[in-house]
Amino acid sequence: MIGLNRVSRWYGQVIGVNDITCAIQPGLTALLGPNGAGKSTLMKLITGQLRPTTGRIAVYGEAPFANRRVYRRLGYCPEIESCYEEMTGRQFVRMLGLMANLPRSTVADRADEAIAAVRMEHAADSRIGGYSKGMRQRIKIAQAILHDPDLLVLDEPLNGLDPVGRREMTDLFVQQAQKGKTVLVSSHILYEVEQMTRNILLMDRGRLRAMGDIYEIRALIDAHPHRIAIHAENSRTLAKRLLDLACVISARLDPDTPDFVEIETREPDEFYSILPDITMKDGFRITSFESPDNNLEAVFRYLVKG
Amino acid sequence: MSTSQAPTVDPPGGASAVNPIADLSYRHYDGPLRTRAVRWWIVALLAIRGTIRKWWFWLLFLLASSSYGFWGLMLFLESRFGSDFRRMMFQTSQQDRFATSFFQAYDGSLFWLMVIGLVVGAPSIAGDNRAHALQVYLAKPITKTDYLLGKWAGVFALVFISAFLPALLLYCYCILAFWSEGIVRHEPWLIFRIVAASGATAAGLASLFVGISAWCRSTMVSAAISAGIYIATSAIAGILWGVLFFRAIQNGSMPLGSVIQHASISGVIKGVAWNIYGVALSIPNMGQGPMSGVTLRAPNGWIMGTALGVLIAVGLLAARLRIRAVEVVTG
Amino acid sequence: MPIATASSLTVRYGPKTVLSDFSVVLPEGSVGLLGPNGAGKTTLLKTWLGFLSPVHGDASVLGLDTRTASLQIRQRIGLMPELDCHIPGMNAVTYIAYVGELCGMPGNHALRRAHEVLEYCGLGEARYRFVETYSTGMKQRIKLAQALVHGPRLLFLDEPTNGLDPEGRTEMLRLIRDISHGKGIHVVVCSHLLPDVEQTCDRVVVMRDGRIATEGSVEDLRKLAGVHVDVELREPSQAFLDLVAREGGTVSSSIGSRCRVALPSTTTDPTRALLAMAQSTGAQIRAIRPARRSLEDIFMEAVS
Repeated sequence: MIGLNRVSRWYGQVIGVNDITCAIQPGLTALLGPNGAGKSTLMKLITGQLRPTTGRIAVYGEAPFANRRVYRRLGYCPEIESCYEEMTGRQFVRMLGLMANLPRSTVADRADEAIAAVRMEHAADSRIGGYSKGMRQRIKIAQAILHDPDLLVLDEPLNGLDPVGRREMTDLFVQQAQKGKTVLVSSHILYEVEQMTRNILLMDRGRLRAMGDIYEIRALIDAHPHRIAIHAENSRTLAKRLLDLACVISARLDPDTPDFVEIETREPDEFYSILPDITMKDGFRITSFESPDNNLEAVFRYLVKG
Repeated sequence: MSTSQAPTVDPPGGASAVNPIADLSYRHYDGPLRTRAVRWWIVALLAIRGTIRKWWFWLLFLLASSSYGFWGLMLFLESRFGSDFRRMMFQTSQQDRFATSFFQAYDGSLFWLMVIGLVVGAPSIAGDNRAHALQVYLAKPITKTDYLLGKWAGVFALVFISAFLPALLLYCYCILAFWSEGIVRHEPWLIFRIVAASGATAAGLASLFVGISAWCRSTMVSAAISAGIYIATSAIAGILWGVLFFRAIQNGSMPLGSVIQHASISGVIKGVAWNIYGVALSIPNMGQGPMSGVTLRAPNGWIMGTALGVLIAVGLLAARLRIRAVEVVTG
Repeated sequence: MPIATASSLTVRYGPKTVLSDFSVVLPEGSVGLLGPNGAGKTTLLKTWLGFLSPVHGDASVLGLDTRTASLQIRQRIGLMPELDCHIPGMNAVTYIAYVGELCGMPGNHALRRAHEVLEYCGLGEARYRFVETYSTGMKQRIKLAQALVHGPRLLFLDEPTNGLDPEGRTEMLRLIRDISHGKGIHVVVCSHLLPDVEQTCDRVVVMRDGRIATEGSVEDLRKLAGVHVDVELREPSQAFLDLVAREGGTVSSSIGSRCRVALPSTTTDPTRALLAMAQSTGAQIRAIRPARRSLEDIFMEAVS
């Protein structure tokens, strides 16, 4: 759907994004990276607000820069908070609907639908100037989904929303993705990303650091062996037993928590398939085991710092 | 940070006396605290310290001082070439010739004092508004009045220094050079007049600019509005006075010393200073022209004093109203 | 002594009455103050700081009345505001020392303390830079530094991780946890990011429409009655879920490869039982842990 081929963009001497090649498929993709990694620049390139300095971008087969045919199929929620302060939320959404070339007869209904989708009915007729940060986000999302675009690009759309709003908007994005649309969301809040999708694009210092399924990405990070934290009775005996396994490379006990052992392995798959046998045959009572590495937080940490 | 001090001293970092390794992460502040009385002065000191390090302040200071230099030179030349030299250009009575010189020098520096007040005062609160600094200030144990007083005192002090220091230098020169002519005997109150005039000027300018600054979110807008009000009132007063002046000439009378001429920010400030110096300016009789041979007197002191008082009160009140910790959201 | 209280408090904010007849007692330690937008958290915070004065009722902070002892309160507390704010035109050390002086510290002590606090907040390298040139993460840190400089006993932190990237957020949370545990400082954290509160606070108060929806220690609130276990599989496996159901368990939620199951209360070793079930269905369990309610669930339940 969206293809980037060796795309770079400079601002004068400053590099925004550097040599990015990737394809974004329908469904929900999360765009991650530290501040200044180039996420917003990439989004502006895809939405045709910037022209790549070098390389090519194709959105539905066309270059998006100043291309109306692409713009019609595109919804964008910018990061900046400025709206027309004197307008009401409804007026704002309707105005953008007219600009998106919706027929005059339907624009009011469509605007109402979009406002209902972001649950802003109660405040749609008050001034945007009096809106809280969360309400502004909602109205910005409403204008992005208004014309039912095939591609939704959302730059930090959850920023400033309260927990209820975060969940509602997350659900909305997932719904849109399930309808077969391409949704690209940038966010800093990794646990929320994990609830939305496993499919990520990770950027660091202008370059694409990783793309794809987070579990697959994690499995490929060799530099950091998997740690598995186990809480069990007889942790010391369990540690000894586990060290006999070829796939286990270290075991660590913690003097402060006596029922705890943490092992490291380079072949997590093998370890996880052996663990049930050991537990059952040797009669260890394990209360919990989990890998502190097997989440997006850890993937992010390893890839961005390393 | 070593623990090998006298055993009575608590080791740093809250480490217990037995632990030879100090915890350097975070510790409480257990040093002395000042009383609340000086808090506003700290706010003022920030502006003063920040400004006197800037080269442009001293450039403006030099410009403001230049008229005192000029009048110093005049007095010097007069003492060399006799009073005829001076009388050629400026008529003055022997009684208050120093006060006259000081007032004229003050008049010449007033514009630059305004510029100093503008440059220092216009960003004083506007810059804080822009950076949401009030959130920082007012979460600390200082009151809104402390804050405002500090901001005002900062601007006041800088304008006052610029008005008073050059005058003081000239005064010292006069004392040394004209002691024998009885400067202190003839004009014993001169130094107090200088202090009072400088103070009135600084107070008026500081109140005006701080008051406007409090209502702006951008230093540039604040500066533009301040300069605009200052210049516009002067222009309007000038035009009004011009109209009255010509009408008076037609009627054959003189509206001089008229309050109208001083119906502007600069006019009020100058009018008050004029009253403080209490001098009359005689224009030399050149034989022709409407102003020839006329004596200009200070405008009505009560009106000028009241006007300055109102200016200061309005400025401070406007600022005080605007300084809030809470933004009230409407709509 | 409670760190902050309100008793039958009524506060108006502009034309609106935000809090009416509101009472709360925040005990010592670290407390998360939660609630959807418009629940009255900010108003409560501003009342405690003395920015708003109540129409009825009383509020106190550290045992001092907000109406009569507002300045003493502000001497003893630090506020990290939500807004991006600083005093313009200074480098970080000058700024923090100046804030210290505003709190009454003599100049030399303030400067020494400014260096210490900036170092603690991780701005040691950047302390001679102007605050205007700081990145988002650094601006958050310096907001914490200015709240700490005078050695407060209580910190109010309003959205402390707003705008931070994952690394900055982790670091900020570590700082908050450090300062609130074992340093003798109480903290009140307001945040929309519930895991932040989960990581830094021992207690929470959830507000809704100007009332308390729920409050208690995080530990207690998160307890689930019965045997609940969170299981993470390598791949989603319907066969495993079916088997769990057949064995008398219930699957309460299943997102992707993660699920939460409730086992019969007679189960003595849930791990062993689940591992056996997984083995017989060919599923691979990647993680098992006793389930606890997330703060998000608690929150959603309280406010809906």
